[in-house]
Amino acid sequence: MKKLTLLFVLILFGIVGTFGVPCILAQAPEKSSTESAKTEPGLTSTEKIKKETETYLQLLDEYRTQENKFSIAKQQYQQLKTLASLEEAAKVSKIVQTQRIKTLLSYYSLLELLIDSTDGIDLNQKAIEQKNLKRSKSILNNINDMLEESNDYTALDQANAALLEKQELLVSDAYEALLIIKSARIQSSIDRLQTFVNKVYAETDQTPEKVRAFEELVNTLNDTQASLDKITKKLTSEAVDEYFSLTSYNQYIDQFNESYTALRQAVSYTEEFIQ
Amino acid sequence: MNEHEDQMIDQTSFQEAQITGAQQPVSIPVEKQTMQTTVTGKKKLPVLIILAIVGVAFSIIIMIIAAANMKKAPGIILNSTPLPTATPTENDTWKKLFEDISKDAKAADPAISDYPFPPVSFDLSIQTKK
Repeated sequence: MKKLTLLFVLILFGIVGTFGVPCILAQAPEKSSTESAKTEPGLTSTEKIKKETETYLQLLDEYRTQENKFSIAKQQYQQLKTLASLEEAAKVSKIVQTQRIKTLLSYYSLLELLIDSTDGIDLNQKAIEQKNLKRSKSILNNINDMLEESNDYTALDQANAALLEKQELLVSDAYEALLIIKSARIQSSIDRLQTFVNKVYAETDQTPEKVRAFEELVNTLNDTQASLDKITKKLTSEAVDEYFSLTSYNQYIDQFNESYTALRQAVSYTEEFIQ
Repeated sequence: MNEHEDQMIDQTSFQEAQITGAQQPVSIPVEKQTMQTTVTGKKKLPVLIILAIVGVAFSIIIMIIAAANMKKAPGIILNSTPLPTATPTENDTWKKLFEDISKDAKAADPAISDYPFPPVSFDLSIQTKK
């Protein structure tokens, strides 16, 4: 009986030794690779954007939880009107307001990274956008300082009022940056397509059919560029003295769609051209 | 003569056993039991040794297979990179480049709202304004 037990133990060791250890070894490098990716300072712009997006989404999720708690606390205070319920509402208000600032700061950092990494943005425009986003972050940091010093509901409501006062500017800076990114992405595609078409045309036999197709393609690309230039010019001039809102953002998106349709047509012509 | 004598003795003892049957059932089963235990004891030992050898051999085989698989794994990854079988033509290079440009153009769709403004409330006051 003892020998049988010994035999089973031996077999068990054999199985564990063969399958158990590789499983542990397979998990260990995976963990270390993710840890190194987080701590590594020399991240690419894509990796930085991915990391910041993850942070932003986590903060937003936490904000939503805190906002729900605040709504309940505020409702209780409005119903009971007691000192205890007011203190509880003030406590939750500080947490939710701080979380809101953190979420917004992460979002503006994300926009900064996007502006920095997107090709096709004019250098001057890029500098303007970076400056705007930095200004928004500065406003948020100032309000965060106010929040840290606030301990009663009056001070907390004052901090909230300060942010509410800057809402228009903060929203405008974000939408402006988003529109510039949209414009730049179309511009970058036009540039790449233009270079590609010219290269293909130069390196192939220029038959009358090819020449005609190339001319048609160039005209489509020129029309796309002209359409985009018109919208971008309007966008950059309006940015100087007007605030952007969700409504104006959507209006610009509709206009960009026209340029984008022309771009897709040019892509379709190019596909035929290279065949 | 001796054989004859033996036969005679045997026959007598047989007859005796037949006659004195009361003693026989006691003596014979005892002998059989002792015989069985010695036989099974002898049989168990080789079976255990064989089982142990088979068990150890089995685990060694598994270890060898697993070790071979572990060594092969990176090799498979390295080999998985496509080897250029033939030099790509100019048209293939353009098609590849075009696919990349087309993908880029698709990503430029302004309708894609990849980073919308955070859905946060700007009014989180405790005292509602009248």
